[in-house]
Amino acid sequence: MSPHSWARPLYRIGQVVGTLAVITIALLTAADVVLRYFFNAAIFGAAEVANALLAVLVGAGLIIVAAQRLHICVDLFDAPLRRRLPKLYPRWIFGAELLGTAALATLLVQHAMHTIDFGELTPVLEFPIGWVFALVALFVIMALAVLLSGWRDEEMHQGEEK
Amino acid sequence: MTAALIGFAILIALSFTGMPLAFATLLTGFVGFGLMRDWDSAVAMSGQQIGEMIVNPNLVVVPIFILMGELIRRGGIADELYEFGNALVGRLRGGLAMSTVLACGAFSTVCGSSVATAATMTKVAMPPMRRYGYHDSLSAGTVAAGGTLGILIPPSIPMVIYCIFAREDIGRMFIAGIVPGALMMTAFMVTIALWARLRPGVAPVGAAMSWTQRIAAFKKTWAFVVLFLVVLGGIYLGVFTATEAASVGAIGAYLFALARGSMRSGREYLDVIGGAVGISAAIFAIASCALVFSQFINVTGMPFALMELVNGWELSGIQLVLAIGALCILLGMVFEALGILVLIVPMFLPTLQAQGVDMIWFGVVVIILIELGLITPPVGVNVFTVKAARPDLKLGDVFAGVTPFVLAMLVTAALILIWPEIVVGLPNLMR
Repeated sequence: MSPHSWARPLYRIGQVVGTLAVITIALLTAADVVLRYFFNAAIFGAAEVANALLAVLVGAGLIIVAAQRLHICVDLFDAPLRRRLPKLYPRWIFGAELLGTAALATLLVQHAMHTIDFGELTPVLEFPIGWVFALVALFVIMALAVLLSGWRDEEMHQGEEK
Repeated sequence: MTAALIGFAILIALSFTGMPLAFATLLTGFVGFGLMRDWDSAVAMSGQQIGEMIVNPNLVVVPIFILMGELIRRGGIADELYEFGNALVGRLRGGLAMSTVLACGAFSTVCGSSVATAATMTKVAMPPMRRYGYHDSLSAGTVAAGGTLGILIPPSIPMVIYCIFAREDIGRMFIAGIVPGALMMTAFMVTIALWARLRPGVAPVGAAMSWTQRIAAFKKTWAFVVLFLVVLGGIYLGVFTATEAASVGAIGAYLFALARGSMRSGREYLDVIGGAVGISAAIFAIASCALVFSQFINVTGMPFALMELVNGWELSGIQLVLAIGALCILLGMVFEALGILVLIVPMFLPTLQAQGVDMIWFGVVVIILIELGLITPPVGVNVFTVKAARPDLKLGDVFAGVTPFVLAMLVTAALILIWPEIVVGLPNLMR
């Protein structure tokens, strides 16, 4: 499913941020190895930055997952259910994805707020990790918006009388 | 125990209705935990589990290995591996199918996904096998079964997830997969040889190649050899951690893809790398939400009730592993690899550890049994992947074709159960 026009910029943000995050992790880790082996000087806090970028990557990736409906499902009964419940089944799947993504966003917002309030810092760089969780929560909310844009998707209305 | 069983029943029911596995585990785990304790604790626990999972340093390796696999697919390395395999064994009856197994095994050493291996090798190996008159059931069965090597031979994404849940070292786990992977490849090749001998019509004899041609074919695989040595050699010799090996390997794979004409436009970067990011996020969604579910299972006391049950029945470690293995095969008919791992491992971990079971060995056994689910009905993800890549194949032919390989996998699993050294020998030699 490709996202509808108003959600397309959000999808693009997910793609770009996710791409940059994974490239940065790979380059940072490889550079750390080279500097450590050849110059005996590792990059200070490289592993922590990679961990934070991993969280960003997952958040941005969830926008892509929402847009392309990439979630891993047990599709054993997909075909018969789709045949027997042509109107209800796509709505159920859509509702389940919406509910799950909303739950994930809520939990991440709560966790981010708690971590920020608590003033939790990373051990080496002493970076407030709560803001990373807040960014991930923002991405998951964007994923929710991308998912909502699929409400008008043709698949949702298949089986309805024209 | 009853609450946990009800939780499992609800989780399976929700999964069967098509709800994404990640959300089915999250909702069941969250509601179950909330009912067992209180809702504030459920919110705090769930947020913390998800938060910890997405900044877990051991999991940085996942998106990078997925990226490496995607870049390698773009670089056309699979074609070269197939050509070399053909130069080695192509002259034998069933040689092209054996070449496919060799190429699948080699491709698996630089790609951690079974589906990616099956999809790539279908495109590479099916056309020549058809051209030389191989029966579809043999060729499609070989590719589908060969694809399963993707998660047994390191690097393997399910192995990484297993290590997180079992708290094992990823590097050791990767190295532990090498010998069983080679054994499985041998078992597949013996299966093909026997099949071709019993029914010569399904696999004609191929043309012999001179040593000059073989050497030329080998020289073409230099890109693969470099990546193989860097990634697995680096981990084995202790030069790199798994994450570092993945990063260096991904950069190498990118350079090879670039040199071969891929990755030339911004759109291609977003598609390939963005695609890898999307797959990674879907895996993380399952893994982190499964942690919430496993916390619910823990508060029900099920893992310890199971431990008491096992002690009461006086089951030995091997009997317990066999029982879990049977459960894995059953679950494999419904769930895909990650789903089984995140359900099984937290539930049985305390019992297995109390029985003194080597968790690296157990992990490899479980991965092999999960692989069975990839090629057996009704789900058989690899079978459907092969069918999707070659829509003109008959599904019945593919399922018939994988049957002898299922037997080969069971024989391999039995050998590993009898001789655990096959798995733990190499990691015990690691520096």
